[in-house]
Amino acid sequence: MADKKKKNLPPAAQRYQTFAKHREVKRPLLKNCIKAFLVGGFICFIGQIISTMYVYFFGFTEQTAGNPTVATLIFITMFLTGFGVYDRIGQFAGAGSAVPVTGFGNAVISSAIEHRAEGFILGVGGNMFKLAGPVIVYGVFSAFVIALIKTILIKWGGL
Amino acid sequence: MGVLRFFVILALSMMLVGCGTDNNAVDTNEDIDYSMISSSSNSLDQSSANQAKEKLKKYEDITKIHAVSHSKKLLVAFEIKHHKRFQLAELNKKVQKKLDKEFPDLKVEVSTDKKLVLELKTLEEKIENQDISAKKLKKEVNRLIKLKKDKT
Repeated sequence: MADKKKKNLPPAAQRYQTFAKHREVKRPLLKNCIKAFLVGGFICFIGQIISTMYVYFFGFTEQTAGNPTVATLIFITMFLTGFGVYDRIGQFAGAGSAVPVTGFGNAVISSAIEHRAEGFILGVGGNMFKLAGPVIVYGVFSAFVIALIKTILIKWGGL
Repeated sequence: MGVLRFFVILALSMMLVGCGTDNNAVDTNEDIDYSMISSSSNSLDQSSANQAKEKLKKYEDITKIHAVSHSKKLLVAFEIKHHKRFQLAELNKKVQKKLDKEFPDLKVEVSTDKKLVLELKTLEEKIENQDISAKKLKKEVNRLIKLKKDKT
């Protein structure tokens, strides 16, 4: 698609594009991946510490410690986003800070902060889930589909 | 460039260290952590729990066993070697089946949950030191079974 578009461009534009391509600063892909890996892994490490703490000091089993751990991580992200720390982490780590559940928390809270000036209902309320809403919708929907498949397999397939 | 090289070396060395320790794991089962409960009082008889521990001792992957029994109920929790954790669910099923067969007149509950291991350990110590009554033990065992079945 992109190539086809390029061929239809006038020659001057094509020349410009090759010119620009040579002078473009290359993205450090491997470096970004390693950064994302390390920071994302560190966030999960913190999550594991919190989860273990819930197992050791509170009445949660490994099975049930997941929910409070997620809640705690999102709570911590809320503060980090509010104080502007998470933006810097995101700048540094990219997907490493967006893929864990903390990225979800950041998406909710940062848009709530951003649209505060537009009022509480149409601003904060309306825009809070602008980015996180699709995540919830497709998460719930895919969970529904998977549950349907599992139910069918168990009831009729005898799995 | 220097930063990139640093990260590559760091990642590589992590990988090497992480994969290296698995291979020289010793195959002896001497370091298994379990202790028999020697309870003299009749109401807190733990002989079936001790029997279960004897049976599970033979499994090579198990590193820690704790078991407590009370009136037709037997609670067993164990830990396995870390690099075998992919087979955790499978082993759990196997052990449950085996113990069900060994103790047909008991209601056996097998768990690999860290919480159950911790709770059973403290319960074992209490029984050993005899600072728990039969009534309390029953309550505690029922609570742990409930905790084990809790999903959310």
